[in-house]
Amino acid sequence: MRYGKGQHRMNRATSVFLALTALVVLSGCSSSGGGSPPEIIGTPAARLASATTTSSATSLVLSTATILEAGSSDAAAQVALGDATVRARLRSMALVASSGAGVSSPTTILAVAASDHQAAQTIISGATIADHAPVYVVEMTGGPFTANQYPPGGQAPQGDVLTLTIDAQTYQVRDVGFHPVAPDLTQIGSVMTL
Amino acid sequence: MTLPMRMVSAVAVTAAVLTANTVRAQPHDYAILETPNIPSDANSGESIWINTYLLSVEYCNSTNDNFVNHEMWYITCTSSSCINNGSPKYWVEVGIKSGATSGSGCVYDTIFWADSRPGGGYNEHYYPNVGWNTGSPSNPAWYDMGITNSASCTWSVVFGGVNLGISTSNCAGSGRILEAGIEHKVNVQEADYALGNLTNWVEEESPSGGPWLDQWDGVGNGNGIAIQWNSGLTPEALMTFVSNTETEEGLGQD
Repeated sequence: MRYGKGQHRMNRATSVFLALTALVVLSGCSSSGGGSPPEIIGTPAARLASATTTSSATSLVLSTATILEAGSSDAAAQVALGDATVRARLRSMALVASSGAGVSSPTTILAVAASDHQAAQTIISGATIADHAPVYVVEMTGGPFTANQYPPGGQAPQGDVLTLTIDAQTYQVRDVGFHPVAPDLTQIGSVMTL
Repeated sequence: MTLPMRMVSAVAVTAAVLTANTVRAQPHDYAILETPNIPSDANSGESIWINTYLLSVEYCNSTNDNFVNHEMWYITCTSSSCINNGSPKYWVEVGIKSGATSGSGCVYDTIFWADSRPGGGYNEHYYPNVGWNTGSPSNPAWYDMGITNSASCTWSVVFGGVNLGISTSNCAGSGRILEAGIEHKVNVQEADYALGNLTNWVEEESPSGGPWLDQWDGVGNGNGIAIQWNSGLTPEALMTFVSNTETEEGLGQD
């Protein structure tokens, strides 16, 4: 499956990239102008206000991202986890993720349903997530599991435990965690073995 | 400059296709803007404006985990205890991804953030429920990405005015590195592309709530661009300053 927002952009990608290459040729990879001391610009709000009205070349306009669906708490996920079809689907997703992370046969695969994504992630990752949709959390042991991305100069993060947080309605993977110690799923709800 | 010809020649390198079993061990390619490690600099956060015109991988499935990201990283500690074999252990990042996540799912043009913190492991968070628009070189759609210290050991992550989340229990050590640009994971040689711009890179000094400086130290005036070509395959990446305060970057692989 091809991935990208719109086939039209895929089709003209090469020509666009060649145009970018030409731009670099013309510029000689150099910058313009001389240096100047850093300007202290106060609060972020003040910085954004000034940035939208001044620029060396053209005015820059800041866009705003949009929350399409914030989600809402729903106990239906807990009920659905009792469905063998749902458990089989989650197990399949778990095995794909585990294999991709370098472990073809995890030692254990556990799952729990959570009515609130944010509450679940507080326990799983410690992060505060701005979302409240119902989710499933799947936890696999038997690592080391290896992540897929890292900063420049970095190494792929690893963890003995892999967790997936999956939207209970769309089955999209919303969070992926690589942990040194297994998060306590019992703090979220009734734990089932997949 | 022979890059177009090298792009053509890249097609002939399909023999370099690697197996899924080794994908996570493969190096990544980067076209980035980055600061040097300056002690006591940018201790409380960073921000940058991002315009993403194109992020695309040709194939994404259970055995092909290519991805392209257009994003920003904030390395939260550079002291010796925070470095493992020369690699930073702790950071927060935010951006947009097309391709494979670490959960072997596939996303496209999806906002994400992630953190790696002491004792807390590494976690990625995806936001298919947050919408944004692609820009273009002539009509950019700029979004402000920010990672800022919001309380003790706490980092707020914002994209386009949307508070994505908070990295907690993430006590930083000394030293920061600020980075932004394109990350490309190459598992299978295929047609992957990224195009975009960065501007308005700023940093917040300590303490939290301290002054924001209208720069990343060491970045601008032709300095601060790094192209890291680690995969051994032959994609092409470029990054250039179109002004002292704006870059244009792209990646193409056929």
